[in-house]
Amino acid sequence: MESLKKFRKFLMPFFIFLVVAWIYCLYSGVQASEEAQKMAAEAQKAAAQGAVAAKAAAGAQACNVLLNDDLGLKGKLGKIIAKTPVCTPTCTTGCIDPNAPKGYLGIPGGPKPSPIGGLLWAIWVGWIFSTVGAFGGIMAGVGHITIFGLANFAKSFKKTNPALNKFLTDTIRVSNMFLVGLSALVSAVNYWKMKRIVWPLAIALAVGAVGGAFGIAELTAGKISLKAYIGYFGLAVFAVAGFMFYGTTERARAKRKAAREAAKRFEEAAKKGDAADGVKVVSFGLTNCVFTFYGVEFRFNPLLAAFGGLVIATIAVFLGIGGGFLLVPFMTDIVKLPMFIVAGTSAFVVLIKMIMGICTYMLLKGVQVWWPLIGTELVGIFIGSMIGPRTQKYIPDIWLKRLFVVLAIYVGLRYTSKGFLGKSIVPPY
Amino acid sequence: MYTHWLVYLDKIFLPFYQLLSDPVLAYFLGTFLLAIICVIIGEFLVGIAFYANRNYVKKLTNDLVHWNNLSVEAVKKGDTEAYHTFNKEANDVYGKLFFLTIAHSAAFLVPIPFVLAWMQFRFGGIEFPLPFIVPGVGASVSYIFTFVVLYLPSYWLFKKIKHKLPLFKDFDRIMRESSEVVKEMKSLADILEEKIKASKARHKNIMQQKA
Repeated sequence: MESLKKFRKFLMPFFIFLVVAWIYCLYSGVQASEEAQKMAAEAQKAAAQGAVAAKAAAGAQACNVLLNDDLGLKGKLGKIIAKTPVCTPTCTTGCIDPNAPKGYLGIPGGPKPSPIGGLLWAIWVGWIFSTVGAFGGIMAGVGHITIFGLANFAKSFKKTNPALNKFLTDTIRVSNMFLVGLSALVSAVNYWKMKRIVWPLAIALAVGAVGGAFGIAELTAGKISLKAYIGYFGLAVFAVAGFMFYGTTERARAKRKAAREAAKRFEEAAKKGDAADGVKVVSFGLTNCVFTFYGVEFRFNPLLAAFGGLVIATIAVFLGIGGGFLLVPFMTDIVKLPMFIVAGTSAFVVLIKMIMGICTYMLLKGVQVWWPLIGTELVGIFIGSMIGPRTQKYIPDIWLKRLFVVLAIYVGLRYTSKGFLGKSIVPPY
Repeated sequence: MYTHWLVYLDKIFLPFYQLLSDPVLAYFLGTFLLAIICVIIGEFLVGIAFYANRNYVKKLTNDLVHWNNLSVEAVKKGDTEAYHTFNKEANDVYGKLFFLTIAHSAAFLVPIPFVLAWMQFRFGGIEFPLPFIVPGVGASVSYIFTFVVLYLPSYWLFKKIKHKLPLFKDFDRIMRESSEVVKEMKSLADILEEKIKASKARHKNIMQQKA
């Protein structure tokens, strides 16, 4: 550990050296071999030939006049846009009018979320983060899907350009992750230093998280339709509603009351009595290690931790939400870890899986985000986070949770039915 | 409407890219200066957020330490039921503090998307060749990569001088004060260390007696 700490001192200077070396290479004209560039050019040619074949196949459909122009949009988006039908008097949905004002991602005719609306919604999200906590990520997702009209826009291309439908779905997933994921990165680095992180457990969770995050992004980017995404998102919202509902039940409230009374009794008796024994291993196996520490029983399952990290990372990166609502209950109620381990580990795991998810989507799969929307939302979350603590004393925790349970059930019903049945069973239909 | 403010940002940001004549060096210097501005504005905003919420953060942190220390004392007493009860309360409070910290962190990131939006407007089509091919990434990178690799060193440099700057050292002091109580947090490893120390002292006594 000491040698690692010494190495850490040189990490940033070494990184700066690499960056300066790279800038020097660019300045002096050194670049990847010509052969690699030829290969890239050939791949582009093959893609263009594929586009011609797609146009011929689309000729039989009503919207059969394709743009064949990236409209100045870069990367994967430009290539997909070129295969989208042009709007004509007979083709009015699932098409693009090149002369329409630019909206989301710079696409002509795309939704233009009002900055005021985006800001107000993000203030709501920030308020939730600073009061109840876990539900904020879900609400950020609801904003991207429904409030800003991105889902309806993506849905319109379902038949005319499925690739665009799936690309837009991926941008929603990555936008969700940006808000929580980047913020988790900053909080993990700057603002939370716990006394101890149990590195074997953190690494076990992170290995699972890396595998899950990378794997699900790699496997599903460009393949999930908006309809399916909304359905799964709705199911996740039901899970959150379940957790929050449990917190409002008489049983949970009674437990909280009992905890406070136990704390009083415990503090009074704190100085009496002798300490129990230290560590005693009761049983040890690959999947179950049981030991008592000063008479208190602890269980630790490395395989469960890694598998749990994988499943939670998979769900979180698939839906584009932080996973905090799954991770913390997993570590406290299922693995039953001490708080100081949960604190350090959860921030670390959320950080790792979000970085892996965002990098895989954006760097490897070419998914883009609309920076003005992300920026406006961050401003709103910042404002909301300052309002929340001030309103907190006027609204009891239990009523907040009840409100969010009702909201979560409504959102869950709407998205699940829209996703899996094709239409919403709650208004607006 | 977004295009209009991009034009305004153009007037503000473009002069940073016109300081040198060589285009490559001018681009990287300009991006580095933008990154520093993002760090300064981000640190300022997070300081404001923390200042506004300092009492609430202090309350949550006090609760966290209180429940955690109770759980450690429960372990010392060998009381499993009390430990799980207090530990759960501590985890619940930690959950609230975690998400509040995430909301504060959003303040730190506020300037970045606006800068990246402008960079996409100006440099979106430019590919920056790498000296070698990176599997999965290719032979070139975009404006995002160049911003990130310059943002990290500018953050590191700013951290070195932050404690000397007038407003930022006050924000730093407030953040440190609100987390002072964390030093009182006990951990299970402390109990083990006490036992190990006691055991070593006993062993030393035995050796001295034998000698």
